[in-house]
Amino acid sequence: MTTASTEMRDLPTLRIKAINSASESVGSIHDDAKAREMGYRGGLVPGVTIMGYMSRLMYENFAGAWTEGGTFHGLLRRPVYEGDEVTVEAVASARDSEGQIAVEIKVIDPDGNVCARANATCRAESEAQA
Amino acid sequence: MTAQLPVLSEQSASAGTALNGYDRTITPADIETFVGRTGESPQGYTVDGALTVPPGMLMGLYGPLIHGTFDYQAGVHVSSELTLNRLPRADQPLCVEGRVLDLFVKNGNKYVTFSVEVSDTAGERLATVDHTSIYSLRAKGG
Repeated sequence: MTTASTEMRDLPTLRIKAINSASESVGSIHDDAKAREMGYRGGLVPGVTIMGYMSRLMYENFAGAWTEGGTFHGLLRRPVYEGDEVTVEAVASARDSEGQIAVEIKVIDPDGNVCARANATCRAESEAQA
Repeated sequence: MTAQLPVLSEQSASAGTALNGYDRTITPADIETFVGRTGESPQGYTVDGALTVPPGMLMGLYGPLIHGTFDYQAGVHVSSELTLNRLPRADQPLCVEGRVLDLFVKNGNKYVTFSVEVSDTAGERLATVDHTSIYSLRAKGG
């Protein structure tokens, strides 16, 4: 992507209390007992839920400009546990020469660790809440 | 049920292996459950008077695909690469298909990458997602 400007702007931050909706999935990484056996503090909040935090931010800011032709590449880096209060932060680039915006998103746990990050792109011309 | 499925391994999941596709209709109740986990309201996904499926839910459609093909219980989701064409509406029948793209080892962990394609019943591709998960963690301390 050719960027016309390096100017970045912050998007509204989200704060979300994590829910492990799969904790009863016995034998999975979301199950407390199995996760502890694998060396984790407890059952992991499903990655799809963490991705959902970041896609929520994209949807709330760009709506159809993202859902019609947009992209999203999310990476899960550290576990998020039931009850963690996570912060979802993002910065958006200026419109590039191809009419696209690039967005960088982070999910940060209460200790300040980046648990997940994503890069997304969408059309610039119809930002919902720019 | 998973006992009858092959364990996900280099032998059972070589690149190109087709995953067992399935049909799915995401209902308004499903959407309400999902957005409850992300702190949202379903109303935010109403477009032109119709409730649409949150993009995050599309990333979750891989579950029945991989778990319906392999005995694969303790995987760790690593990444998802989503390309959106159009959001489906609630109660719209969907077809979910996929295949294994790659298996690799990194830092002692075994990874699988697979592609997921979400289409409507007319064959229009609505979204694609490439997922990577760890299917076998290295032993702790190893």
